[in-house]
Amino acid sequence: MRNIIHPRRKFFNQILYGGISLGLSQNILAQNFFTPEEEIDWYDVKELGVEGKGWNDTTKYFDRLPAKAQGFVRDRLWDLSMNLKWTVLNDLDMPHMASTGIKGIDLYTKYNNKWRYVTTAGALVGLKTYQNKSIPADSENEYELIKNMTPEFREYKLFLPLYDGVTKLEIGIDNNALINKASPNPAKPIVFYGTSRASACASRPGMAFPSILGRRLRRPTVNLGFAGNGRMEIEVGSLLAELDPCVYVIDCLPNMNESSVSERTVPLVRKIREAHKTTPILLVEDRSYTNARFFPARKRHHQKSRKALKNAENY
Amino acid sequence: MGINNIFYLNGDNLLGQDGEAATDGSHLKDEDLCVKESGHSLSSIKLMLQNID
Repeated sequence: MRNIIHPRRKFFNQILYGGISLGLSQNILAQNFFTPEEEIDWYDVKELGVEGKGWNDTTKYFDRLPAKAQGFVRDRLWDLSMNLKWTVLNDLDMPHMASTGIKGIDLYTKYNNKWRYVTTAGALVGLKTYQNKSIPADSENEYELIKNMTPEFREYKLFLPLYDGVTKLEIGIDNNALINKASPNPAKPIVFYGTSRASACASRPGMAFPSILGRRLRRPTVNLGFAGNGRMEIEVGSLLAELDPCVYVIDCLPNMNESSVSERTVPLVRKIREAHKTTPILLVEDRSYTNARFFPARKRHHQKSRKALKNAENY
Repeated sequence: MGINNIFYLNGDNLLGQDGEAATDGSHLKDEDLCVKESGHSLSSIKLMLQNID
């Protein structure tokens, strides 16, 4: 595998997307074998479609919330769903998460009817140098994902960045190869409404737990994790009620406290129930901070918010 | 809540007991996440999905 930095070619073009966890995935069918770059045909992913979008009427193609949500939900949530042009000056780095997870793209393929990891496209934009070569500040990411792979017709799935957003994504294949849109998964999706924990700090996008669950359960997943902003808001509940999932997973406690959990859990669940009488709803407690035993205030925070959630469940 | 089909997932043991499952004490990382977090959620969601399509 090799990275290519070329200011004009466009392949995996990453866009800055502060504090977002993005769980879209996309299926393609393609025959693959390495070819010289001049013999590559490029396909815009928008023409192939993505899996895991809750709404089609989005302002920008890779937005997770619908256009009508702007001005309806808090600005912060809307901001989190907007894709910004990715430049080196605004590139997103985090002190606790690998770049491959923040802005890389994972490639999986079906093997013996199971999704198997193939490789990760790492983002080089934002680095000043790589392998002793300088990287132009206005570069777009271009990454050769597959090289010398056996030429077979395969089904692939791409997992997009967990924190940075994407505004444009193109797939290049040998001009003698074929690429087709895969048949959509007819199963109802699992909808996750939560916090940054929905994407967590996985080292690459395919390792976020909604992505793992989607592969294991063979279902699409809609990942509505908003870093710092998963707060059981009724406006978001109204949008959730528009979807038709097999399960709603409500996983907001890490961004809430006892008071807000007590106030918002029941209205959120009822809002969903107005539209979906029997769809399972899973209320998830916050995971214990792994160092909570050393910080009594953290432990108390867990205990109080969990008690509030339990009380709401038994309401 | 008086509403059916509500399920509940306890958070206490989702990350195991060794304190190694997060990069910063809070955000999960891969290895433990796969085995413990998704493993636990998987069984819960499978239970919920038993009677659906």
